[in-house]
Amino acid sequence: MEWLQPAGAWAFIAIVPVILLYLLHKRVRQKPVPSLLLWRKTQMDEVHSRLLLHFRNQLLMWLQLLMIAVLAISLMHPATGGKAQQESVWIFDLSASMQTLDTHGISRMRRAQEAARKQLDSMPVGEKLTILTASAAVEQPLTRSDDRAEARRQLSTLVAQNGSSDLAGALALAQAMQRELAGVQITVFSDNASLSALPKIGVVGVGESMPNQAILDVTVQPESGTAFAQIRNDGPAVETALECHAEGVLCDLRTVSLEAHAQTSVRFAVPKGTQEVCVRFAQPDALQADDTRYGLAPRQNRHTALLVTDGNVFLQHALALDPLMTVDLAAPSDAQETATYDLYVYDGCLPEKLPQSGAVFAIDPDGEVFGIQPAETVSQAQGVRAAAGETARALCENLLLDEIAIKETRVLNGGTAVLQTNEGAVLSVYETQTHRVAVLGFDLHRSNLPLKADFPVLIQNLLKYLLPDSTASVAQAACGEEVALHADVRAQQVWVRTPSGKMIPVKDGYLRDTNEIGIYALIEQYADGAERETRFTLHIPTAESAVNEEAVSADVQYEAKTAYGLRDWSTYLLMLLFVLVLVEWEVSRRGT
Amino acid sequence: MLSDAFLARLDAFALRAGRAATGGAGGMRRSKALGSSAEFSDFREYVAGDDIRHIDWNAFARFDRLFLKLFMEEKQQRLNLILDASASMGFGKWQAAVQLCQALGYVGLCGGDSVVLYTLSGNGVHSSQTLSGRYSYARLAALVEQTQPHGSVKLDTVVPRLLLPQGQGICFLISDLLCEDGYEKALSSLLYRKQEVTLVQLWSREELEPTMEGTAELIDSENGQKLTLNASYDTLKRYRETARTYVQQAQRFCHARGITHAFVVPETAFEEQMLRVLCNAGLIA
Repeated sequence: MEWLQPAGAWAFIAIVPVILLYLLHKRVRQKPVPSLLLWRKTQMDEVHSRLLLHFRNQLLMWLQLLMIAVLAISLMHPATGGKAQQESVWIFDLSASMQTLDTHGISRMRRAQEAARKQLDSMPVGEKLTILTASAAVEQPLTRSDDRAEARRQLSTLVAQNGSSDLAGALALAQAMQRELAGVQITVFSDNASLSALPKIGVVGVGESMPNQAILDVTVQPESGTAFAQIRNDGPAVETALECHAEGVLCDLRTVSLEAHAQTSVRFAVPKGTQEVCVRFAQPDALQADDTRYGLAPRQNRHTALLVTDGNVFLQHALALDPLMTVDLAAPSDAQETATYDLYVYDGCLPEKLPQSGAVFAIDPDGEVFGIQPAETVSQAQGVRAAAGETARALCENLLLDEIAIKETRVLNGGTAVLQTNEGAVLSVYETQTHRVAVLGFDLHRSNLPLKADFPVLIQNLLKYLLPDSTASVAQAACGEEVALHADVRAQQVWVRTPSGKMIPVKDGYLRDTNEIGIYALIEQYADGAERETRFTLHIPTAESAVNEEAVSADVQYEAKTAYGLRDWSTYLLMLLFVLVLVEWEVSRRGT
Repeated sequence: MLSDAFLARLDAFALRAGRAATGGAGGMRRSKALGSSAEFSDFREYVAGDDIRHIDWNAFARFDRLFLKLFMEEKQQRLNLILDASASMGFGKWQAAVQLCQALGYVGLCGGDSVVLYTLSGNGVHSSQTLSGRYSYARLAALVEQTQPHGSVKLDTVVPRLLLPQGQGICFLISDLLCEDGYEKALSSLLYRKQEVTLVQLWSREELEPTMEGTAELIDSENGQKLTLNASYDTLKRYRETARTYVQQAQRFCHARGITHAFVVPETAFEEQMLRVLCNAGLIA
């Protein structure tokens, strides 16, 4: 015996007022009679106890209590039996496009919820339901439950996010269940038009084709006092107004004629030195999430480097090519520098103790540097080339590596090879929890590399690797995605302030709570109390703005619907209740 | 008080008595004594001393013998009306008892009988003077109207002690027979005293088929005793069976002793019902 709706037990509370009513209103009435002669001759129920007076032989009361009990039990939906269970897996697309409003002003998400509720009402009793939500990640708010109330509650809590949806991941999970369990039906509630072709998967297409205009990108040039917005029109030709806010103040308003299904750029005049711009449509359209976009001026993070060398003009100038880089020189005898630098460059020497923080670039070291070990010396190394791998490809970008000759070098073991000869790696990099390290296996003065055009390029590439922009990976990120933040290893505490002002500590270098649209701030706090704030923006994925394609529903005819659900006894109990009502009426009619 | 129209209808009726009247003053009721009334009774041969005015001369002409025509003597009958005026009679049947008593008395008075009214109540026994003649009806009616049901009456104790006149008579006992001590001795004593007894047992509809529900505390109207009971369907059903059995016992008792028994449950229009009941029971004709 199972109870499909345990909440129905609340109906038992009705017993209390019934008993109270009988206690309060069933008083003894006095009735004069001509004589007690015949009453005494009658074998009757004479009552001696006043306490039991109210209850004994109160057939009506017992009938009414029984009716309440039957009603309560029927509301609890007692069920028995049940062998193989029919199962359903519902996947809900929570992508940003599900926020799109139709011509009636109702969102696609709400349409999906309404369709799901209808299916839930017609779902056989005992059928188990699993709900998967596909936003940037796949979540499972309801797992194989036959509790309809819980399912309705979960349905009502579904909200479209600002990111894309990992429908593939959700479908993979659902199909895995389909393989493992018999009779699993998969239904996807989505506005994605490409889902209808999927085999063995039912699709409830929601939403209608709606025209939409989206702001795809906003860039700011503070020096010239200009901002650019890239606009796309997914719909018929339209004329629309765009507002431009600089530092929160409305500074420009443009009316733009947009061709049908075309993309265009709009230029705004902003005050010089503007760091933050917000462009938005004056009138909202079907999808409001892409009607506003923020833009930030390019970042200018300054770095400091300590070059420990007996004298290396090439290296010194190559490092100083970056105008935001400040290079301090030190002799090898002063290699044990206590000051804090972003980068330590050791040219032909190593300090007794490597720095606790900051990046390290060691040239022809005579010992191990954070896991990279110089090995045997090789003479007349030829054929310097880029090593395989993504890291090497990025570091060797724009390098010719032509006719580079090395008189003597040491092969490097450990780390990731960037440049290699026939004998082995001559430039390797390595990343630990606290350091980024690059080791060059030869003395620059014993090669022609400094004379090549490749040298300053290689040094700048190395600097990009060794001193990464903490929010560089955010440039292409969108809402809902997991964002990697390369915080300064010297920062003792790192937070991210969301557009709503919520402070989220960053512990493993990733920000996962990225559903908000707007300007985020990475805040790094150092030991001396200083703080560095780096801002970045997140918006909905541009693909979510294409809402002019109508999703198509697809039904699936499953081969074997042999599963039988639980037998719900509530109908029979309601019939019993009806009989009890008739009996109670008859008893009430003829009197107790 | 009975209406004049109803009294006019009663004029056409007379009390029916099973036995011939004996004793008493001359009246309109036939007696066993031969008398000078116009009603023929028999013939017998003439003996010396007979009144020659009664010789049938036509018979002498045919038979040549003297025959004497005999005529019925009409005498006055005693009608004793015993009215139970205990408190139990006050529950929906007192008015009927009063009207019944008045009607019987009126028929008796109009029939030339002498009527005596006995009222039995908690205050004791009250008997009227012997009333006779139609003109006495008003007094009889007033006496009955003045009586109010009160207290308890033990029929078996009170009725045998009633001072009934000597000789035969007609006796009507109007009661509900709801006496703790019984009624059998009362009826037997009346028979013993040569009364032609008629028992009119009056019950209200509520006594026969009580309507109540739930728990009730019943109060005896005569002695104030209380009884708390659960008036369930079964209890009421058993009561109705008990009541019917009680009435049947009274009927059997009366039948066994030649007592006329009339069971009356008064209806709203009691005059018509009363006339029907008295005729059906053979009390009046």
